[in-house]
Amino acid sequence: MTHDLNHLIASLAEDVKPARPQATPVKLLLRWLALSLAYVLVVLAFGGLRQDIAIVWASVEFTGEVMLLAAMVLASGYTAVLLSYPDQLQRKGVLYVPVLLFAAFVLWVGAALLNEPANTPLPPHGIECLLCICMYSLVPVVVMVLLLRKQATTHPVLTGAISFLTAFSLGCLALRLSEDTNSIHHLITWHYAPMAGAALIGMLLGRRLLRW
Amino acid sequence: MQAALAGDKRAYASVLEGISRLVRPYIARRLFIKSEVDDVLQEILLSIHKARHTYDGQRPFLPWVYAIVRFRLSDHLRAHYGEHLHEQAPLEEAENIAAQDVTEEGLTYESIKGVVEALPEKQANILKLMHNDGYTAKETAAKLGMNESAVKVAAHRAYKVLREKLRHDP
Repeated sequence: MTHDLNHLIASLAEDVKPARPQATPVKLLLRWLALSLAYVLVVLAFGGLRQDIAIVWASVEFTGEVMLLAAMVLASGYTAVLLSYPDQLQRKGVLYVPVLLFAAFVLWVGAALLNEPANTPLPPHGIECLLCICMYSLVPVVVMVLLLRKQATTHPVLTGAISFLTAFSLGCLALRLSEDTNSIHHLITWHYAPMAGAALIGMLLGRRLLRW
Repeated sequence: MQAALAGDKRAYASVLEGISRLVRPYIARRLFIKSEVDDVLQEILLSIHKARHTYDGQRPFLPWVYAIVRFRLSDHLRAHYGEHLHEQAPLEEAENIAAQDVTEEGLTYESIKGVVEALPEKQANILKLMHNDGYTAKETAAKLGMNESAVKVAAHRAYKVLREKLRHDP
């Protein structure tokens, strides 16, 4: 081995301390959830829940959509955390779970689109929803990035995409509980398309944000 | 590695030396400019040092190491080709550019991946786990639910078939 390499090894060995216990992916996810939910609940408390929540909660379409969104938040959050380990804890099969849930979500929304009555009114607002989702997602995305930066991802682009998708899915879920709209056209245009767009932004920023 | 994680400096130095010896030929086969091997190796050792808190000693060690090795290697290649993308060398200098003996056999897993995948499924899986993912024969056996000697025999047979195929159709 070269002199430089020997010198490096000696200095790294000199520097070594007992490694702090590795945080499990579940603990990291719970840490993120605790901080993000606290923030989202405070914002929801100011804005209030939708007035017809008791009525829509009884409908299968609404409940199914909300449950799928919640499942996507959890699954993609867990995947983002798993991706932050260099070898994904050697559990690569789990990485496909958010893909399956996303596919199920797209099918659910597609079915809702086909079943939507033609005279469903469009809400008067549009871009305001996008801004609300960004507001709901702001702290979750920052917390997620800060948590994952302390790890060592070897897939920064994918991790960036999934971490942004996780945060914005939570934002969409929060807005779904506070905005009283039932128009699936509106939801696709101003809620779910931006959610996918956020994943794209995460993909572009991943290498820079998650450098280690 | 367990002792190294507990803060044993000597054990840690020994682990890093072992990783250097193991990983150096892997990097050398993948880099065109041999003088960069040491730089990349240093980068990898630094990354392993920075990322050591993500390994807890409860799972196979080499896949974790090789994940970091592949990541840093692709980072280096991306930076290298990014810098040299727009450089053009005059045609007269072309004969001086190729520093490597063109008859040198630079076989890597990636270069024979197609041939490996044409093998029976069990043999192809064994070779992928051992030579692409970095598992030992024992770890491969545990993963596939086989015993270790069966893995070694299957790998040996696969090497024989690969040798024949590459001899006739390199």
